[in-house]
Amino acid sequence: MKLKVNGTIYDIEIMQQKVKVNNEKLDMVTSMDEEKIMINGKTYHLDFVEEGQPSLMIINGMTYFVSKTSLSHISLHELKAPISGKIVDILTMTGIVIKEGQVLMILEAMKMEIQIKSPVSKRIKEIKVSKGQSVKIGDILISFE
Amino acid sequence: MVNNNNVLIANRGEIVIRVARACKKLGLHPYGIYSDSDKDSLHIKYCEQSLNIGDSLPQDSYLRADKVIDAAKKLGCDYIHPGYGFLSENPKFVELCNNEGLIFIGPPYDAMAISGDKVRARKVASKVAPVVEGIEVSNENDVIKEAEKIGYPIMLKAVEGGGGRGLRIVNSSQELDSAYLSSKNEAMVGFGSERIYIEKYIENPRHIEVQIVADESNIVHLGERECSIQRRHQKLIEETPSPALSTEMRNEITHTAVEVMKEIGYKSAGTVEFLFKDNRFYFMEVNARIQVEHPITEAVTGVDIVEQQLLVALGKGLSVNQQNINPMGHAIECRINAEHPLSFVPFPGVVKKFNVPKGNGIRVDTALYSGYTIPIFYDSLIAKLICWGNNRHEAIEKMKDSLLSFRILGIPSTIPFHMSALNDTRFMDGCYDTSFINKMISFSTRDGDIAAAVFSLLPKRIELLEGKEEEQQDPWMRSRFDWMDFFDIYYYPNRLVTSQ
Repeated sequence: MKLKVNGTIYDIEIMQQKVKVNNEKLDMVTSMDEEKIMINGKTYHLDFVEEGQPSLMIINGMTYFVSKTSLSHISLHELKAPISGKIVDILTMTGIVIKEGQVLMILEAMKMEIQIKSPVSKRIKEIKVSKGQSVKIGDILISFE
Repeated sequence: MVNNNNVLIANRGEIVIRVARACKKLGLHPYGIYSDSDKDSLHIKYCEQSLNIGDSLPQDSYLRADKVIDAAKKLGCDYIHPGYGFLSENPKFVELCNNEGLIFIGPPYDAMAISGDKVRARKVASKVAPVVEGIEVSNENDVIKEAEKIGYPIMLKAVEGGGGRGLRIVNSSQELDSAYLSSKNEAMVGFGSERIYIEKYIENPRHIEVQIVADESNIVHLGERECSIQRRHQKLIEETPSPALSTEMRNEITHTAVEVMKEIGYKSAGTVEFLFKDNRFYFMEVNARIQVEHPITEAVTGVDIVEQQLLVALGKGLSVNQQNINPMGHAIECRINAEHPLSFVPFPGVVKKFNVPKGNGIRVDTALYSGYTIPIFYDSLIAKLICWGNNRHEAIEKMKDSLLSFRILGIPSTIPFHMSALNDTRFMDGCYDTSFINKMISFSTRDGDIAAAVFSLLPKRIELLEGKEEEQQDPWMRSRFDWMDFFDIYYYPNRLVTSQ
């Protein structure tokens, strides 16, 4: 299988306790707490993982975005809150055709105003939140047709 | 009247802990306040007693002068230390304290009022310091006239604002009208004042500031801090001494800062900020508070700046004078914020594990602990990592080691950013300005094979890789990163900044 890490592609082959990366064997041992990983005798700390496409990992204080190389583009039907906060403004309406990059809402979180722009060019089916409402991360804000 | 020894620290998080330590050193008793979402904040444990002063939103709690003063009275405190942010630079709050017979730990009302008004501060400072050409404007015709006179590019700023809100850079007369209107609007919303100031825009300067402590009779400078590594006008890395200053230039800029503070009639701890470009400096503004980055100055001078603030407020005066300030070595601060490494969007959440680096010359100021949930209502700063070395090289190496051994699990932070910045040749050479971040290359190109191996090993990920995920996986999770690029961030007062 092929993995893309920060733009570079690696060939991966998984065997027991060993992983072959670009045909080079790495001995790997995970510790009990799973945040510490020994690779060829060196310790690496996996501080943060967030699944997605790509997935995000922070290892030893460095950021890695990892994805499988061949992934078809999934079409979006819903726009969800990227962070918990409060909707301070809604700049669009149901039924309107919006363009990619257009500002749809303004969310306030951690002393900041975050503009939420549309990832797609589509018609808005429904706006699921109202101005002043508090939302949690992952809550559906808008559905597209 | 003899005052009691109780100090209300009207803030939250790490700065409360910092101030509480200085209080205890002098035999004073620290008291605290907290909002609803801060009831588990570590700062409460460092105070003898703390009062809940209201809802989570700052405007319902930490920004409510009346509630803060009420808390001081209930807790029997004669002194109030404002920390930074919130009420710390609000002259009306100083006045209120004075009227209520409470001692505000900071500059006197007049000095605060001048510092908070950019036009007045500039006017006063211009008697003794070079300033960037500029003037306050009151209408559209005015702004066009002045912009022509000064010459593009120009910058529009909120007179009574801070942190970059209302700030616009204008390159030509075509952009001027709309920039002026939006700047005015933003200033009105952010600061309740539509006063706008126009000045010559200096592109990519360095930000260098001078730390001052002052009492009734003396003004002492504690050297400068280089604060040019910023993102959207928010400082991320500071160091002292600045690699940009020659000895003569250092003497000139520190001397000028002292003269500015003399003109203002400043007392307590404060900072004079300058822009520095082509070996010339220009007065920018006065920060009338203790600053986030004060520990690097403490590391090289050995002076406890908060202790000096307290001594001045107690009427005892400074315990230092200019002759016994001899800065030694080099210090760097990295601000660790809870934020996503791609979008820089704040990332509140549960901190699963928190282990700070330790060692000689390493200081961590923080209110974090394992199991703590970072609330969504406040600043994303979660820790300040300060490293001292005999020289700049030693300080940088110590900082890299410390960042590597700093474990924050469960939330992403700016640690990867700092690793990249510290390994950037421009930083290593000390040749950088406020445009540093625009050209930064991620350090994470290293160890990509390790990352690939780690990823493939995690059981859950193997499932994902085998293709079972297609139907189960939430399409939003897939796309979340795709549209992170679409975020623009606007900060609030005291923090930053702007759209561009």
